Amino acid sequence: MSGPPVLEVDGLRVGFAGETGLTQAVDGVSLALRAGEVLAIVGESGSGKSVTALSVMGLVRGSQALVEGSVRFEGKELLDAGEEELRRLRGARIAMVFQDPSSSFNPVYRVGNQIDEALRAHRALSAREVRELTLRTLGAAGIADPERLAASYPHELSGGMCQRAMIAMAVALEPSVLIADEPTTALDVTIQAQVLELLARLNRERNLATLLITHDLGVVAEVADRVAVMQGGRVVEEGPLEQIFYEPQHSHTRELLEALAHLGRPRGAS
Amino acid sequence: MSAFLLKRLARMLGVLFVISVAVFLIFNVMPNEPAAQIAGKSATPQLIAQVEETWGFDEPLPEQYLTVMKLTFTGELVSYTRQLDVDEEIWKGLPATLSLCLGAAVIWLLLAIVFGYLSAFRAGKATDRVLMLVSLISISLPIFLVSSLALNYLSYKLELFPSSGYVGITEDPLDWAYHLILPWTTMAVLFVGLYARVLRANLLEVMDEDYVRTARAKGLGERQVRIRHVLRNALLPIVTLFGLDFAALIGGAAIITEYIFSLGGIGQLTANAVADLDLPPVMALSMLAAFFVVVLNTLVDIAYTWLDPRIKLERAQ
Repeated sequence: MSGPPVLEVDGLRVGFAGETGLTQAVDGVSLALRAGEVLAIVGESGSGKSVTALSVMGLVRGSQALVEGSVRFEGKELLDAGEEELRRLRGARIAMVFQDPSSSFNPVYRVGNQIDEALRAHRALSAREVRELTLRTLGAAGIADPERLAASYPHELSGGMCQRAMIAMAVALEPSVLIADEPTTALDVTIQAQVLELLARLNRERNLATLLITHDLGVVAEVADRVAVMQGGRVVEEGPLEQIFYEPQHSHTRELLEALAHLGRPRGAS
Repeated sequence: MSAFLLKRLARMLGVLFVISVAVFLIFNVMPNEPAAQIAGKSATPQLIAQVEETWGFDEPLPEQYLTVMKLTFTGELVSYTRQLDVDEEIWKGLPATLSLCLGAAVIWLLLAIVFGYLSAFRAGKATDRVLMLVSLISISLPIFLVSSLALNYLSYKLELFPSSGYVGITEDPLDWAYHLILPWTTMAVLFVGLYARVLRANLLEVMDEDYVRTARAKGLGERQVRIRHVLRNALLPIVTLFGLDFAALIGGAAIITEYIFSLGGIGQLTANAVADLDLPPVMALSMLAAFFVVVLNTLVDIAYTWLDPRIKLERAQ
């Protein structure tokens, strides 16, 4: 958990030009992520956490978005990287897992084929080698019957299974950074715990740098090493997990914690 | 699958029955004397009565209906006015209609995919605006206008294409295509605009899907994302639209194009039969049209299970 950061975000600003002028979704965010650690970005919806993640992937480019600042991956600036350069990084070096696993796979292709497709985008392997790698990565993500899962269509799988497959796809090419954007929000509570456990295990075993984006402090408490609290496009507080939970400095952090405490108590007890 | 096909077959028989009864009743409600038509212009009342007896027009309606249906399905139907074998006429007209519609369909689908794709991925830009304006014009232009203009300029004035007639593909494939280029194009003009607009809307919708973001995030090239993930899924609703349009066209809706280019197809046959109030061909042609609609719908449903694994035939009924 030491050494130079794998991913550095410096003064990132993302604005969207709309009919009513520029909306500043991210307004000067700075973060550093090291190998082997889980950094959680917490905040309410609209606080800019997902846009921050998508900017790192170079996925908010386009005519409507205005991205400024700096995003460095292994020392290399990504914000002025070419499209092909970014494409090579996406999925291979920086991978991402999304919120709704069932809609994150294309419904008309088998899950295995979609993972194969991701592998083929980065590696010149034969069809057989690709499939072997797909099955191996599914197995590593704790899927009992990889062959059957690979042959399934997304709608035939549960949300938890889809998310496991999604995580398997994300880590298949041994990326350095894994960005998980609300990976458990769409799942049942019991499945949530399993998926978090899987993320934590992969993080440990593969020395991944994990950026976990969530609105749920309960999720944060389970897996995060460090926490950045976002509000209105800015990081209002950042620190180790214990500090955020036991000595919150910023009023917004305290508000989020209080909301959690209220939810944790039985109704009528307050 | 076989249970599905059996159910569809049963449904088709039901549809054909209802349509045949409707056509028969409409025909009998209209002021119309088939016996007089058959007997000729200067026929005596005795002759008309005689014709009525031999052709069975004096029998009760249900019996007449059964006779017509029997003749339809044994292929012995004869038209009242010209006393031509209806089956033979249909077989003569079918190749022209099928050639016209298939060729036009290939053109309009290909162009619509290209236009829809270009405008969706350049949404809001000049290419998009021009293409959408062109397709709006193409939708609004009446087909008789387009074909008349094409005939006047490309055929009569510049003499680039033949103005009329159908040449069988087995006789001379090149001449077949040469004679059909104008009809294909004018018919395609009618559909390209509509299909391009529908496809554009579908593409824009699919572009925002989560799985398209996933495809980008896993490092696919932009073209692969657009074709394998966006276009592939956006084409699904087009299949339904195409099944309906194509069935209607080969069932007789291609009439204007057939008529203007004198192709002598099913549509022209239908128009003549209706104008003459000639029950046998009208009956046979309505049944044929209904048959095409049901068959193409079934094909579309089967195609869907293959194109979209979420759809199962057992549930598609």
